[in-house]
Amino acid sequence: MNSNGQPNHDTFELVSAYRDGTISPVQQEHLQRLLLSDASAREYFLRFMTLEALLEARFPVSQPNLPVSQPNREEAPITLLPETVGRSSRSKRWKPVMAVAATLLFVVSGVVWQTGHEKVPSIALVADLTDVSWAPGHQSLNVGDKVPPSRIRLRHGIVRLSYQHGVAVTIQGPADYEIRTLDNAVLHHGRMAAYVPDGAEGFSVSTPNANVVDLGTEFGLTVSNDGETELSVFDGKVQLTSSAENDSQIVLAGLAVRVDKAGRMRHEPIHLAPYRDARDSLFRQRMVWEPFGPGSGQEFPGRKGRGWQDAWAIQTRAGSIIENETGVFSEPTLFPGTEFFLGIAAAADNSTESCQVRVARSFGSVDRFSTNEPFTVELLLRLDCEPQDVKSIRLIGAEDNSTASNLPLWEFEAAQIWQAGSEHLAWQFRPSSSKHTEPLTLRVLQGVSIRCFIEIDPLMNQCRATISNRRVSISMKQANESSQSFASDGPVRLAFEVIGQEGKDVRFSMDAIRIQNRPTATQ
Amino acid sequence: MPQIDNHDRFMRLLVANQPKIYAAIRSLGLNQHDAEDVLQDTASVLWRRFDEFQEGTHFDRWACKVARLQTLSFRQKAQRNACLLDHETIEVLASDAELLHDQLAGMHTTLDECLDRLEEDDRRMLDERFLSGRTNKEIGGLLCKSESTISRALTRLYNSLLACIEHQSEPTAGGGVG
Repeated sequence: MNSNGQPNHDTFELVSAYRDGTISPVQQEHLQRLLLSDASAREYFLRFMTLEALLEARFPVSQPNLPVSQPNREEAPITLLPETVGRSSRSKRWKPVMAVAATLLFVVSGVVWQTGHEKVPSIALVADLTDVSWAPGHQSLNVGDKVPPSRIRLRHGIVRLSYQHGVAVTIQGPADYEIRTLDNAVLHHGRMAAYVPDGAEGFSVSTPNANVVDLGTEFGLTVSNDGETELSVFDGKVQLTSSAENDSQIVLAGLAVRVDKAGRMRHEPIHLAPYRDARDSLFRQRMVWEPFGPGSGQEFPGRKGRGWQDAWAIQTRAGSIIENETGVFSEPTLFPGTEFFLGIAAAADNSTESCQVRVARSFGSVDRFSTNEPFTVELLLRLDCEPQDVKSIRLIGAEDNSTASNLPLWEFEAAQIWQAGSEHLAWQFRPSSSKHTEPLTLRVLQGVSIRCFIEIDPLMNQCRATISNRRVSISMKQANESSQSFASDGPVRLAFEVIGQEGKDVRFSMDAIRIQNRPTATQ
Repeated sequence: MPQIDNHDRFMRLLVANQPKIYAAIRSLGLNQHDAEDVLQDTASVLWRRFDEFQEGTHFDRWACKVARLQTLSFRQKAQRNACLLDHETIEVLASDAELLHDQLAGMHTTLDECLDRLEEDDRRMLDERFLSGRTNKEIGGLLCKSESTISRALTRLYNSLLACIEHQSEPTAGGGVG
């Protein structure tokens, strides 16, 4: 248009048919010829389509039928997108935007490892618990709890601690383990395994009759009831000092040393079997991010209750779900420089469109890693639909940057994946707490698309989540600060996308995300 | 931490300019679905190259340029797709869009005012189309009119919006800094 005035009728028709997706091949040919030959037609096309895009982005201007419950001030703006669900026969005729009004409850707060800003100096994080029974009188810990200097007493089971500097320790009960400082612990009795990454060398564990200083390695340590210490070095080397003889020696990988009550040291073949469980747990991950907040264990969102019949089992093996009731996934390998696309979908029984969670392509920048180590990303996702609808979970995606790729990589069947009662709606928003949950309830009118970006920086031990629109919407305009984030920076970004269908409630909360350096081949 | 600041800065710019970036992609004839994909790619590229962005220059211009390049590369990768304009056409459109950037990006700021002036019927039609997601045919059914009538009415409506936008933006055409 512009100064050239109105375009002719033909242009109208063609552009409008193109917009509507009703253009015929012949017309499309015609349109292309027109655009190639006529600058004013091009300008009209550009303006017309820009307007279309802005309208798509802008609506709804009014929000009828909206439940009034506006999220608290910090809501992340959520794009409400239509979705051409699946690859239906209509997919060629893409639908116009069906901007959707929805009730949003998105809470993003909390901090991950705020080194130096802790009021109570916590040293380690409870990363995993396996069949744990605490000693009588012992305060029970939950996954995600931060642990200050204290004693951890177990009757049985395995606790994995993740230290701020990357040291991972698993304690196998019965045991009595004392966290003293970041670099020192005491094993009063029981069994433990430790992995000490580069940069954390010097981590030491004292026993009643010996002191072990790690020089960058993986080792196992047992203090028996009769007061003997046994050290097995699986990798690297360890300096062992006997308290009695004040004798110090370096123990290399593949060796074990027993220190008897009197402090005498004796070499032995390495002990592998006794440490198997502890090491298994140890290597499930080497880096742990706090699963969104210390708080009281009661509130850790992965726990049972609040409508959830099952607790999270934060354990997984690459590419498979260990427990039916959990949605734990891991992308086996991610190389620096690859963009990857990971999808998780929960398919409904009778229709494939009832409810889905997708993890969309990484928001770039895996290649920002300076390391060449492959690493693994684990995601914990929880998705609610009608519980009886959910029959399978699919991971879809590809490791290239093809956006069109929608191929299943893994598929799992599970009779009962998630179950949540209506109380689950009762997640509280607590701006003051550092607890981090991101519950979200959407009454889906047509289809929604919500993005949650997670950034992970394994080098910095930092994690950041950003809830963001997939695309523009009116709420973006209103809320200038469109993204809420927690924690600090990080170069890896994962994007979650939740897609819902008309008439269905979709609830989505992300309890934890973990990342690990892939264990070396020797593991 | 500088990187946080950087990232926050980026996100602010991205979000503020996302409608324009989306429109830059969509205006090259991509359908919504593809446009959203390209938008994601674009965001990714922008973030990776954010170091190259000069503070004080026009973020939207830079971003839309990247978006157009991404669109072209998307077109190149997309194999035969009947719904897409061909590569050459998109290329020509993109180069025009580059020249018209300020005007096109400026539409974003003037659209609101023009929407406010709409007649009730027109308003309803947009609501049905965008808010309720109805097709022209469905809207036609609601209003007892034929699909083509609705389509023509919409096009007319678009044209009057375009005229309004152009009129509005005359004194101060130009895309803002993000």
